Amino acid sequence: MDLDKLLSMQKLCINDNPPACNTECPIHVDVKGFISEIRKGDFEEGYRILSKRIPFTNVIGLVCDHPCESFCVTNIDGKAISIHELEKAAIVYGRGAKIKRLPMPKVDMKIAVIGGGISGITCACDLNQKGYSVDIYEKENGVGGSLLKMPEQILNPKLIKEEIIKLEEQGIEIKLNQEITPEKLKGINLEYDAVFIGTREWPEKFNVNELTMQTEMEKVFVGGEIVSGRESVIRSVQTGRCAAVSIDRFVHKKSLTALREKEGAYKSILEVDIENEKITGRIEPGNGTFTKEEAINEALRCVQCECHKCVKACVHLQKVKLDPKAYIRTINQNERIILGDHYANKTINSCTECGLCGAVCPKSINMADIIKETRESMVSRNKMPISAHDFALKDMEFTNSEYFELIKHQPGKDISKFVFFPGCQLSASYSEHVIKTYNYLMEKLDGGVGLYLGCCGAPANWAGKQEQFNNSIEKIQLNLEKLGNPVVITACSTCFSNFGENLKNIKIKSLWEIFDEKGLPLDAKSGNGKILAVHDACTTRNESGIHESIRNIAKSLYYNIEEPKFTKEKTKCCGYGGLVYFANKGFSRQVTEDRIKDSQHDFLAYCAMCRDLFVLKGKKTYHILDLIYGDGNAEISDMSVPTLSERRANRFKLKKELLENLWGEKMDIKDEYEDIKIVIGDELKGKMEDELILEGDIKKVIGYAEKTNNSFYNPETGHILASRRFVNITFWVEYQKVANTFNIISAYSHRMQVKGV
Amino acid sequence: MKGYSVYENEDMIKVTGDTLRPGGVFLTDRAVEICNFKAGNKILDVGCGMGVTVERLKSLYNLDSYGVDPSLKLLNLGKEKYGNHHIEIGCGEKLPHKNEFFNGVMAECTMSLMNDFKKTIMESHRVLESKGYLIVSDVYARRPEYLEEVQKHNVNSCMRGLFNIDVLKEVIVNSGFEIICFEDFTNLLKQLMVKIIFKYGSMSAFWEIATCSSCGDFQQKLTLCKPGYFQLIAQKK
Amino acid sequence: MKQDSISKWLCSKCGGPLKEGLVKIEYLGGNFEVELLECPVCKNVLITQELAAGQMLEVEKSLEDK
Repeated sequence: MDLDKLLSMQKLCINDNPPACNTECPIHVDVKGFISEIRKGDFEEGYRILSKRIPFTNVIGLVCDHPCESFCVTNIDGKAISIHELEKAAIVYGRGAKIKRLPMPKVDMKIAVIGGGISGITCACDLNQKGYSVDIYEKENGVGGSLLKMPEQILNPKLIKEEIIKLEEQGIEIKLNQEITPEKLKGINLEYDAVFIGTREWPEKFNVNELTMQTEMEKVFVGGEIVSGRESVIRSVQTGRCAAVSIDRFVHKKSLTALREKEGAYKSILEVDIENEKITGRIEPGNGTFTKEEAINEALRCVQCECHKCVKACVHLQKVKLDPKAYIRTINQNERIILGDHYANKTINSCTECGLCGAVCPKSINMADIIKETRESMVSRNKMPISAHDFALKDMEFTNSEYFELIKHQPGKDISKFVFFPGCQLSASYSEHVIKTYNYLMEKLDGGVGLYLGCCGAPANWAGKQEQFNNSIEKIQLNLEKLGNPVVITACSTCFSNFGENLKNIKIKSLWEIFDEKGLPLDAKSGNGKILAVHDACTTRNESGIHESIRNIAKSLYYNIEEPKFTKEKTKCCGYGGLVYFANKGFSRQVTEDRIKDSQHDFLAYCAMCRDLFVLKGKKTYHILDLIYGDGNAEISDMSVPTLSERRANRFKLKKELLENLWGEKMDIKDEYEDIKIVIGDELKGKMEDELILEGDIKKVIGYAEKTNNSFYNPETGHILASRRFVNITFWVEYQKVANTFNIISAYSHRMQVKGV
Repeated sequence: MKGYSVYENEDMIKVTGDTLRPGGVFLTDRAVEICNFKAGNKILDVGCGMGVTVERLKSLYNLDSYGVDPSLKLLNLGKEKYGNHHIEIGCGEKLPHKNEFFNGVMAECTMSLMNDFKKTIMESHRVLESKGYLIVSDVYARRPEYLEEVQKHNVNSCMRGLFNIDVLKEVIVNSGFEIICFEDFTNLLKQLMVKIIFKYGSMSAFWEIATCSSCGDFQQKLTLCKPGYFQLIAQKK
Repeated sequence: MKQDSISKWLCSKCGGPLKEGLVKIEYLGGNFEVELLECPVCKNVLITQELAAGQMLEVEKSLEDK
């Protein structure tokens, strides 16, 4: 597993990036943070958060010109969160909060600040806190600059005086009534290690570096209105602060420009979706400032911006409570240290690998790719629990065995321009439609349409068995070569995607596109305007050609299509993907149930497993072939789903029938003890489905037991209990022989092997 | 020793047949072989319980075996069963024996129960003669990062004292020993676990009975550490 | 915890009753010995549904998730 690749994806996730209010604030106050505290009613903590970034909080906080509000995502029709009012409330109600200030070691350097306005005192305060010795030269009789001109009801002059006293207590020397002219500046330059000028006006024009606030005189830095050209409290604070950072670097001869791009306002990369949020109107303070209650209610309007689009769309991420960043971190730890942990295994085997997260993520982070690689790594290190995918892999083996595999040219032809690959599940659920479709293709296409019955390798791919999957693809590649490298027509989306990604020099075409191009069979029945919601298969979420073809087919049969929530490239998995249906059946059911809720209408699916899984949960679902070949009865879809045993039997029968009817060949394979008659009650049938026990397994156990008498017998009930091991599983059957049939009482299995006494 | 003692619990004794140890006597025998103890050698079993090992060492190998244990209950049961052999009350941190008295000191699945295993190792060093052997077999965490969680629990079984093996090795070396061999025997722990599961129906059922309480998520935390089992043999320099 | 209804099953081959005996079982390379019901004559071991779905499953899962 390429750890570097993993880690790099983690970095792409923007979910914990600061929202616009934070980034557009020139001094990056944690706006989202302090509002979150007010939501809880914790004004003191809110105040603490403000005081971390705002100098002279009790003063500046009351008069800040809040550019943040215009960038708030709720700022539609003037409904933006009243950030400034909340700021004021935090100060009024939270100013009693205890704030710890750590003393800084003194630096033996002197800085002159010329102009005691907002930028000047900010610069002085910041530098003083870094340990410098600072002198402020103010031309008037008091420092405060534009603060002193503010109306009393907005800013009580007492508060300004309190802050000035604090400045002096911190050791800053304030020299009042001292105007510094350009002449006097020369002297100051010699006396001090650096100079800051924030006098609003200056007789000469400065050449200012916008990033560092440095002028053409390297020791001299400016800020405030000299730079911004307008009155803005927060801009003055920012420029004063920026100059302080520059001065600190300058006197220590460090780079003035390195790593400073995020100082000052910048655009947030967080993308927030507020479509589904109800934004109510602003709460106006009844009387000047918010009451505590008003403040809390206004703060509750805040959306608390974050990006969790993926989690909101995916049931798996919701269940494991992990966003991609945390998920990748968990896998990283898992990979390095604790691979093989039960909880982690189950988690990794519960992702359907459907790619929905990647489709909704603004950065296209696709957990499916990561999960796929993780499973492959687990397999290669022998950490994948066998029971997770064993049955599906055995099913694939069956499909590729002589019981089903068939590779032939069209009967009567020895070349194939096309080959039809219906896939294993369609053949298991809809074998009659497969036959009709093949006949249709042979009729509509020239050049010979061969037939290839087999498995595309999807189970191996999903189980992380890279080697097995590659071998399977190689085999298919060779077989196609023997057929003359025909165009492969797939009925299944997973086959389509697996072949498209892995077969070389082979063109893949979707059956649905052919139906759309060549026209439907003439006897297809009309839908009479019935509304259907199309459920797109997740493995072809990006194939718009297939999406279109399906909708065209349905519409041409007079069905009305409605799009469910999460459709086309944003479709959801039905619950089968990634073999979750076997690895975590309980969760698979949740996935299916979640998908069903996305539309109240009946579904139209074009994957046999999607159709089957929805029907199993009681949702009326049509397969597209039901629309094309249905016999037009009121209820086209018969709402029945084949059992695991029936699936295999159907595949076998399909091959047998086709071989006989089209190629005149007889298939003479017989399963051991196949002819044994068994009777199974419905409840037990359900248990067998859940526990992946096949009727064939039961027959083999009974057959062997009857032959050898290696079994147990209950004289009271007359039941027999017998077992037999196949490969890696031992099956047990309790049965009762009645005339020529066997009533099955119960069936179970285990993987541990009994070696002997 | 804090908390509820699993060792005095009758059920535990039933399952493991008088010795609450993974592998039973297998590792004891292995130690005797590797250290090549001869008849008459003085061996101490720290945390001897009823004295099963003390008895075995005496009757099978003719060793002059001693035992020490803090549980009066187990000592009395042992005296009843095996007669008067050299088992007495005491704890590993303060052994009642003279300096350089023993040829070998064994701590089989008991070091993890000590309040201060460092003291116990130092004491073992003291009572061993030069070139004497210290044999420690115990549980350890194959995932030491999760140890903190397990140690918080009040259940007194060797599982709580799961070792971080690097820490243990360092202490042993710093106390004046040379480590001659260290081997993982986690399969023995697994075998004990399988026995317990089959006997009690499930691991959680066992913990409920053995500790007579709902020890909450002890089992869950335990599995996080990936408990393993080891045997370490060191020689006094 | 004994397996339920010990007296229920007899051996089909010899008709004799079952007794608890030490049985070797194996999974994922680990070998274990447990007491299970078996026919002392024919050596057939009985695994009930409770055992398979309970103890055996728990052991399998904990050994699989190393």
